[in-house]
Amino acid sequence: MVGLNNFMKNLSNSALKKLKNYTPVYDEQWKYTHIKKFNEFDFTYTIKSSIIELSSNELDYLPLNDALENNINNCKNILNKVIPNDKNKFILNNTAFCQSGHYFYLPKGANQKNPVYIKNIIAENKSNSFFNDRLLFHFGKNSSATIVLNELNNSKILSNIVCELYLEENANIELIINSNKPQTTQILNLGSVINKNACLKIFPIDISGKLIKNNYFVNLNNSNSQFYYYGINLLNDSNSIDNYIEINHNTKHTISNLNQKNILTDKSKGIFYSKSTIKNNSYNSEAHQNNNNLILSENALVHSNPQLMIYNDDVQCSHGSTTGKIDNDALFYLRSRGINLKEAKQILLNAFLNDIIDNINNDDINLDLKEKINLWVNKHVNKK
Amino acid sequence: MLKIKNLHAGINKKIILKDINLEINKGEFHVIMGRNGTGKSTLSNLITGKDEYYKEKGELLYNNENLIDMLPEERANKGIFMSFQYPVSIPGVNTMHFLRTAVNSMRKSQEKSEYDPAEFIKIFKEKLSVVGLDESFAKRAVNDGFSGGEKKRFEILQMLLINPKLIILDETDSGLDIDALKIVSKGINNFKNSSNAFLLITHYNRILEYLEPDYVHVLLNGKIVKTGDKSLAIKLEEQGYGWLE
Repeated sequence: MVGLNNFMKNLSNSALKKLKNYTPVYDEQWKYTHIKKFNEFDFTYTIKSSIIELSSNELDYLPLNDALENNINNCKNILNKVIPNDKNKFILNNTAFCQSGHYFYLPKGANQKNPVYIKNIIAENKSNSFFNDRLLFHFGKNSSATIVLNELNNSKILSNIVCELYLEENANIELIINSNKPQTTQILNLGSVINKNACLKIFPIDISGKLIKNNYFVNLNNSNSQFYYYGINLLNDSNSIDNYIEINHNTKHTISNLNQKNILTDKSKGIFYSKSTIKNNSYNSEAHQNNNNLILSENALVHSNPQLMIYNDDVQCSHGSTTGKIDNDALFYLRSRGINLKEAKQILLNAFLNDIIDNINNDDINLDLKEKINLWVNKHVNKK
Repeated sequence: MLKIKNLHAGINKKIILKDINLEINKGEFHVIMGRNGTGKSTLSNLITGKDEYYKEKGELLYNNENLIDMLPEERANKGIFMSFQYPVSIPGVNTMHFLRTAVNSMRKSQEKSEYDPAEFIKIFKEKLSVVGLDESFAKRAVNDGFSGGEKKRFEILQMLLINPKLIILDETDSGLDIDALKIVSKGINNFKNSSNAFLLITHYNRILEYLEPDYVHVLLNGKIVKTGDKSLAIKLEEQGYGWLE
């Protein structure tokens, strides 16, 4: 473990100790993607971090080691505290073996008009070892930005990512995770702490993925902290993407709204499991969950489980889930107007996804995603 | 234009139409009347090519081509159009985008140049006023949240824009108030000419106060049991279908 500063070393050592005595937790996180699926892999890989390319210097960037060395913006107080380490062993593995990682800081009051694009480049991995990657995003008071995290990779990748997002008061952040990794096996543990009047909108757009397990842990800690999740999974071949989302409404006047839409073909498998807990003092809070799935083949499979745990009467909550095929009547209606089958399908699938994409305010990002979706539809739905 | 000979057809292995004979020529206006469940909609769905409907025997020819072998979109591009009894709502699909795609599909099949959005919007606005819809329609989703009357007017708007040759109006009058009925009828009358033909399916002769049919057919138990002119529709209104059995 060369090159680590003392702070990281201490974190790493403490995580190693915890790992030694770790009793596996078989909770809801692993209900539909069994934790044993990852047993064949090695998580102790200590190669240097991935490479970051940034489109703008208005979002400050430092390798995590350097940021910790000088305790920039008091980042020592945030790292490893946003995400609860004991949630699963992969977070501990990451803390124990991650060699560097990345620190992003949006300064207090910064108001980014143009989106910031971040490319996270992870090298191909031919061995059976998981690469441990760590991202810490820190958004200062009253800051606002739209950030696009591009994770596009066509080679074999094994990655164990921990991403922490810390929003100070009044921060207003849109994060689009644009992921197209057909050969990737991934565990992502993403945590967020959202403070007073701060709002995080996250758009995880996963187009293909070999075996992807995403866990989201969000804590709404102060009055009017808000979390919006708009996810899309487009799955083909034997892809498997499992999204587990855990939201804690820790105080009054907090809002969360989850929306996930999936399209599945071939033998793919998609999972949406959300659990929003409204604690007993969290009156006047809102929690909504919605998951819609379109299954386009005989052998694709969906598990959908939107759960609410409500310990206060004075709240607004809803949850719903639908799974079905393309509406044949709608398809016939379009075809009866001369629109061919391929185009009609494309129109209907786009319409299905539009109410997710249209929540992104930036037109360029919006158009870019729609193009990517069309490419996928043409490749995997209209292939016959 | 449309020739139906000894047609036996149905849905999901159940024969509904038994020996239908019907010929519709250019410039003609035909009406089919009949009780619920006598096969009126089966006939229109068979002509437009809906999946579950099948032909057992007989002939279904459009301009001497066998319709049964054609995809629904091919039939549409050859000029067959149906105004749906229950137009399906398609949330997320913008009306204007849908109409332009439909019109351009037709133009492409006729090897004509496609309309760009600016060209199309002009034509769209012009036709909107004919059916009494306002411009806010351009921003709505197809049939989504439309009232019954708006849906039917939107069907007629599509007819005007697509400019088909054989138009099937499947209970276009149901669910319309008197004002909407007048607007829809006016749209149909203005569109009718010597090179197109209409087949109206209806329960009531109310819409026939505004339209001039050449033939009225009565469909009973899957067969055309009587053909006449407008006076037949009036007689049916007065006496019902019992006397034809």
